[in-house]
Amino acid sequence: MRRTAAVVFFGLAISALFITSAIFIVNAPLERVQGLIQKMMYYKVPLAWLLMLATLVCAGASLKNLFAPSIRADALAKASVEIGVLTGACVLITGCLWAKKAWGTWWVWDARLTTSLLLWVILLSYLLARAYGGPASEKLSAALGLFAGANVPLVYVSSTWWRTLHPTNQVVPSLNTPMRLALYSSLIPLLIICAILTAIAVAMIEASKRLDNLSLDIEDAEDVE
Amino acid sequence: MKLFKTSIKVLLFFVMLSAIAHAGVDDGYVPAHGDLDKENVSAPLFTAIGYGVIWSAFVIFLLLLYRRMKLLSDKLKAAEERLRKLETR
Repeated sequence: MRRTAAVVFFGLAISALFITSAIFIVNAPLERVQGLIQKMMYYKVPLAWLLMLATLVCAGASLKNLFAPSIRADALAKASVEIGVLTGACVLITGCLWAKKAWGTWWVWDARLTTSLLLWVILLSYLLARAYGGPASEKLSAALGLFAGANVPLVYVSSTWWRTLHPTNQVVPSLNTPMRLALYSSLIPLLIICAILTAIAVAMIEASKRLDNLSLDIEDAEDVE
Repeated sequence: MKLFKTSIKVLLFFVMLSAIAHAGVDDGYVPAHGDLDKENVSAPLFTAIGYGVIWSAFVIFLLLLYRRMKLLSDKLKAAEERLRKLETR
């Protein structure tokens, strides 16, 4: 039942992303100064928000895992990091493309860009620690998850606190209605897609733990023989 | 290697699809100063690549999840079978 619901929601979200949001994006007016490239915002900004959300979920689950360890919290932390790495990669790549067109350069060491890159690198290091960290990797990666979570407010306020080339957080509230519709019509399906992908990743991490336990049971049974 | 090739194919497919969708779109960009041809990096192409990269990243992630899911389910089945045999002995 839950699996069918997930498949239906996933299909609806994909359809919404490809049809509804595409219609709204096409109908949204061109921005006066930047022209067409500004339409990258309708995917990039929701993905940047999802990157921050995934990191905060990871930080919360890591905190729980440090003080009250549980398989579910650990799986949720790892799954949300995987989503964070995915959305972060999309944000950084599209950001470079946008920057080349808008600023004439692929990259600048601007506060918003640098803190976002740092956040993505921390999330990547979380996955590397999980993959190669050995037996203590769960605690080590939970600490990395907390560091990543602490970086999120810094990413958010970076364009306000420091003088940056990157637009400030006031851009989204100042959008006109067709632009705002295009933004939210992308955000909602992307949020649903990421939530379902996280749920699948959590289920798989839990299944992998079950496999580890089964392997131990097999070893015990073989020893008894 | 197979996954890498599939990923490249998926990326190319979505970038092409996005490029077709953006073909002939008016850039709408008017540089404030300077030479239009020099400044006017192709916005439709860049936007197409951007959207293509995002779609393909999600599809590749989904493919990776599916591959991992299939491997895990095979291993789980084999382990459960092995344990059952050992217990019945």
